[in-house]
Amino acid sequence: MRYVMRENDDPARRYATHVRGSRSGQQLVWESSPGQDVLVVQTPYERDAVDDIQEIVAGMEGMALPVDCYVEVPVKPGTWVRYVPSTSYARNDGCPLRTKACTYTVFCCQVEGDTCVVYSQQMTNTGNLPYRRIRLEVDVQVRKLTRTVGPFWNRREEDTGYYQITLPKDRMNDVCDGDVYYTVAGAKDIEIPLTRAMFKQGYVYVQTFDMPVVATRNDGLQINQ
Amino acid sequence: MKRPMDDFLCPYCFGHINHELVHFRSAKVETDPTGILPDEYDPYDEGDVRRFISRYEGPDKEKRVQRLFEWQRFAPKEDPVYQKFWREHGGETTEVDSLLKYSDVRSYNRPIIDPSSLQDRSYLKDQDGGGDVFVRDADGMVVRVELADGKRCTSRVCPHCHNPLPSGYGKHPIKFVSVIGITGSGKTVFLSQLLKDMQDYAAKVGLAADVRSAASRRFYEQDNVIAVDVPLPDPTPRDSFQQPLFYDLTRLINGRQRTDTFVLYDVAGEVFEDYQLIQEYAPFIEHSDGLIMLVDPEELRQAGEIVAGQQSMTRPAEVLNQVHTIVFHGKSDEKCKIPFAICITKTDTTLVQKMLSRELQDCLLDDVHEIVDELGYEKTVFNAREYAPIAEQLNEFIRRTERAFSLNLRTNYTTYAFFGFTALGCEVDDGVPVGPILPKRIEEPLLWLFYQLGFIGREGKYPLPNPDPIKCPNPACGSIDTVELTGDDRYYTTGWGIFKKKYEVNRLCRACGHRWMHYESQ
Repeated sequence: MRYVMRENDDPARRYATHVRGSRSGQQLVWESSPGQDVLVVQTPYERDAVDDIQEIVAGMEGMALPVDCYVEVPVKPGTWVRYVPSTSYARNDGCPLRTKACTYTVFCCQVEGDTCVVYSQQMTNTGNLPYRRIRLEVDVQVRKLTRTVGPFWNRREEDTGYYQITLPKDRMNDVCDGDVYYTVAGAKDIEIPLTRAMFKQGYVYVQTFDMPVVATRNDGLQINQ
Repeated sequence: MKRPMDDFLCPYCFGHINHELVHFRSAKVETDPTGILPDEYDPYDEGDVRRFISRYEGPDKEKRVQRLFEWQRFAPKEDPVYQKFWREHGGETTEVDSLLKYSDVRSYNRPIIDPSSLQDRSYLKDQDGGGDVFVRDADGMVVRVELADGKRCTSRVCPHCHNPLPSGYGKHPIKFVSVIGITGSGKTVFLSQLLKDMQDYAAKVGLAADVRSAASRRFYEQDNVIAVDVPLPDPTPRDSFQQPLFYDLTRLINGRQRTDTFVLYDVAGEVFEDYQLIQEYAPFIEHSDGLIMLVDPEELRQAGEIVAGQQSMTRPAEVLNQVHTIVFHGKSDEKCKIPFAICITKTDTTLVQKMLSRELQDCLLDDVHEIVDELGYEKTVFNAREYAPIAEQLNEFIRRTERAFSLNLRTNYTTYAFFGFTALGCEVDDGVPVGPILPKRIEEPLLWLFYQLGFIGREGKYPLPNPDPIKCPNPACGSIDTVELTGDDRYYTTGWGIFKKKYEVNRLCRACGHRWMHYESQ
């Protein structure tokens, strides 16, 4: 499939805008002209695709049309695209989110033979934007591990020297390696990553006498510790 | 349940009408008097007519006189009653003449038939042989009269002002709603967008909306078209009374149909700047069962702090004062109970984005969602749950930034709520929408009024802008120093042993210690 970008010469009648999350929080919805197919572009949280679309379209050259599925653009890691026909949008009441803590941008597009034409977006001064940053809240628990020592008349809790960090397993697909890390006092410039594999496991044990602090580099992630 | 035999109000002059006392515009119009009188007599000349009657001795005199009187009765002419009403309301009628394409005679120049007049009854067909000239519908409501020659007169008019009544008007309970606001606040654009999709908006709350007048359809199809690259409508002429807009709203209650008639008035903004005009249009405000007030965000005080040189206006507060004065004829010691929807318009503009929080902007740019039942049908309820965060934030915003306006409302009105919408959802370049046109939450104030007027119920709660302080119900106390109880404090027990009883409460009076369960009335 060939991909070309064109200026949108009729934004009043060919449009896709006002992107937002659905009430359920699991779908992406937008306003578009009747029967309009759309290309959804997912990018890292801090950046939308409006200004980069030409580069993205160039990077898609030769790819099969990603109909109803997200495909990563080879030359732009972290950028995923999905072609959403108007019929799919109507049938599914929107388009499923791939992950959160990122930005989704929509573009009008149409298939002409073996060419997919993607139309550029025009920004307006209204509140209707062609992109939406989807935030994600992640609840993390950090617990000091102790053990009970001493005779039965004088039991006391003693530090084991370990902390347990509990990570939500259901957020595994929403985070990327490198997004989340922790630090400990005394070595705050050392950021130890919490990877997707750790999220899948659910627990991480850290040997330290200072409480680890979990943080993120992704502005779209909010860590609730 | 309203029966057709009850009196109803004229939507123009608000005179009381009984359905058997309506007048009709004649379906028969005699325009050509040729052949009625001999050639030497001019039927238009009164002198000639008198001479004919006194001197003509031909054998066909009686027949000619009868035809002459009939021609005079059914000739088109200006209606002095109708013209008097319109002279007092702008000078020229704004009636939509849907029959003009079929006839050269203007509808309002057609002769008026009064079935209660003996003379006019002589021209009408007796329907049942017992003297009843009316044709009624299945519910007994008068719908038409028929002339002796079979022509059907179906255009009912008010007997007081001779303005036309839509078909079926008066059969169902009627509610009047006025849309007010200063010039440029967006009333006409709002109404045009609202009426264009009224059926869809009403369907969201399980109501079937039916357009009942040509003027309603023409309002958005012809006179006030909102479209890309089409200039926005001009401001409503200040000295011209716009035709009321009629809708019938039908819902099912326990499997039975219940219909209400809804009448909307578009009141020109300049009305509130001119004392004389206020007096002319006062009856429309006075008889309103609900009010929608549009506030242009540029009128807000905070706008003056954002846009350099912008003058903050006090006119919305002045409009409130005038409405209150009209409703209570100058008495200042009563609160107005008419439900009042105050709407900030143009919520998609940069100015509003700077004034409101991101969270509120997102809410205001989202659609109004219906609530469906287990079968998937729209419930006949106002979605207060979805409206609640908007109400909470707008209440706080108005309270914080528009103190005088907020105080005016609290002092003079009992039932009001704040809304925000955009009727266009796109930029406007030199008075022309650039597009795409995406109105948002435009129907919410109307749906709230439907709830206030009893057409629909409510699901969920929303914070009131003017909650009354909760008083201690202890007769010996009555203090307003009460607090809400939460958590374990909500429970207390009395007695002991097998006589122990547990109570749940949610309110504590700090003055006397009384605890009780408070139920919010909303």
